[in-house]
Amino acid sequence: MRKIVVPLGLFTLAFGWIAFWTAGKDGGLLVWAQDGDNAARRRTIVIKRAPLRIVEDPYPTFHGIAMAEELGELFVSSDNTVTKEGPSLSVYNSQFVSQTNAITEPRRRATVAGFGDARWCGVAISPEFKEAYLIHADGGAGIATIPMDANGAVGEKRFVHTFHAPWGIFSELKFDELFVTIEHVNRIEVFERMAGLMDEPVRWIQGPKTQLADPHGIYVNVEKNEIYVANHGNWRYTEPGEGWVQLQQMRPELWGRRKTYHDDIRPLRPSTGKFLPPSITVFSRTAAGDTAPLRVIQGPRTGMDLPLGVFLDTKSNQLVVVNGGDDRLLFFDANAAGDIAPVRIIGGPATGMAGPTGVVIDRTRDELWVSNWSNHTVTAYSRTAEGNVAPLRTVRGAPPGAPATGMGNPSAAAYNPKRKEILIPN
Amino acid sequence: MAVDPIHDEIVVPNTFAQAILFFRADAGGNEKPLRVIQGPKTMISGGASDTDNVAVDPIHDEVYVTQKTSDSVLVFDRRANGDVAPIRIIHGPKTRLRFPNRVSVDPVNNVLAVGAGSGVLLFNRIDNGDVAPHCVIHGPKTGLPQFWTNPGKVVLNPEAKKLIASGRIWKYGDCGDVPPLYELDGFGVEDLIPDEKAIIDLGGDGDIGPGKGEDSMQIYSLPEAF
Repeated sequence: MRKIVVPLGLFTLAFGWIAFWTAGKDGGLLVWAQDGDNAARRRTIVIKRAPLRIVEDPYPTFHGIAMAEELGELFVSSDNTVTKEGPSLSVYNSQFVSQTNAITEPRRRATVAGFGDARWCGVAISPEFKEAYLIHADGGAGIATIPMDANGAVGEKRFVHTFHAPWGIFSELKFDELFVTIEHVNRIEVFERMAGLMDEPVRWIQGPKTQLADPHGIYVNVEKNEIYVANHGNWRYTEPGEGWVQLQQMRPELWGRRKTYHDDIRPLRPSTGKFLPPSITVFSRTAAGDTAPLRVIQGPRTGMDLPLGVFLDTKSNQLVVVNGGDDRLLFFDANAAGDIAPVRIIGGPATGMAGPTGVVIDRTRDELWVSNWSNHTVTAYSRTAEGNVAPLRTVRGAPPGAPATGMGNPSAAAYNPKRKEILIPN
Repeated sequence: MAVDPIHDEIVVPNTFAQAILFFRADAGGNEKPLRVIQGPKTMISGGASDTDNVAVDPIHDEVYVTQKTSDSVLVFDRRANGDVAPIRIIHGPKTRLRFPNRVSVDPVNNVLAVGAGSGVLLFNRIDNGDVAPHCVIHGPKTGLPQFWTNPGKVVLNPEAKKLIASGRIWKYGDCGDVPPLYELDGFGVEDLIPDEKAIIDLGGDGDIGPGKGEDSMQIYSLPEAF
């Protein structure tokens, strides 16, 4: 009988190769070895790999909008973090003549080398001081000031923290103040324009009397000393003064000086949350603390559904409300109150609006501009347009029809095995 | 959010209005929820970012939410509607809940997992009141921060009896300051896609460091641990 003798070294080599190959293929042997009971002696195995596929939008998602009328320039923020340049502020010539399907090249595009997560939503400008103010949304929580003519990567001229989750901003020129809405704590904060990192708001509006409920867009009418605020309607009781900055997003100079969410500890107690109808709340420009609104536009006749940007047409004294829930613009008399129908509506498939967020009026040229988050466009209409009208011009951030993922700060995805769908909250 | 494939529903928390919403799984557009849990008795409460997470157990008909500001886990009847009290509450000093941010449930092995500032806390599914977790994964060998400032979802896999937190994989029974079996380099896990043998990773989950755009989703093949 012949014996086959395998040298020990060769056997070890072969076994080792099989183990390696197995691990590389399906990891069976590796898993068997790693799943042993001796956790104390365990050595963690690092798994590296490339993704099978990626879902992302390579084009800017237009969010906030502002206008320098004398320059004919549109300032449009993008909050998309996966574009080549990242979140940015693009400045477009509003009076371009040749409308094509090509991507519209901005006159300039600024990105801001700041701190933490940049996710620009609201934008405002001050032509007098040649500054632009960008809302550092969600966790970043603050206002970054950059030069109005910034191009390329720039640093902040100033930064001031708001409470967590600001959205809308308005630059009020006469009294030189910046007004900001804070979604999570139903609050309006007012800062001096020159406020810096160590500064706090000069006044704020917050508390149960305010009827603020998930506030977004904001406009200040200095002629009438009024503030108009668009509210989604998600309401809970908020203490006057309640709010915080996310610890990991707070600038180090403020550590220990500002509240974080870790300071917000409360006992279990009855819930206060409820759904209110969407609304426009109107306050005195100088209101402070837990103050009731002067009047409220709210009710089923208004047609409001996820109201976002708000702007006053001073020629018609009409308030323009971006109705994000159904891709329409609703116009109300600025003196209106209660459950009233819009005096005019722009909406319908011809308008090209999709996920509209911001609105601004060019009083000089009688044009109205809308930023559309869901189709990479900024669309222009006549200031007096009504109904299902096509845009006069369209700024394109992507080729027509380029899909938008709709992802904005996604988290907590879930897979539905029955329908083979991935669901992503944003 | 959470998916209930048995009853073909999705469950969505609304932190601003302190509510849990149940929709048809194929809901679209401006559609009303099937049921809403909301009201004073629910004790869905607290500060600015509570109840932005939810888990559903379709077998035992239960829904779970964590509350950061009150260091608690509330459990509701999945079929409830309106202003209803929780059927169980995990809350108190023994629970070691500190800034709980995400909750997951394994109805097969009766495990309730919480991602909290104090680490990964594992409870029995039916725990109630001021009870100690049966297992806490926390400490320098785990790779989790001393205080996990933005705790992510703990993904549970009942079949493999493994759990994933912050891109690290442990097996059921691992407790204390235990190194993970595996560490995923540069990606995390939001959920599993069993039929594709894949996982979902979101750039914006806050767990994984910079370098990826936040507004994106990556699909990776399932790690060997499964």
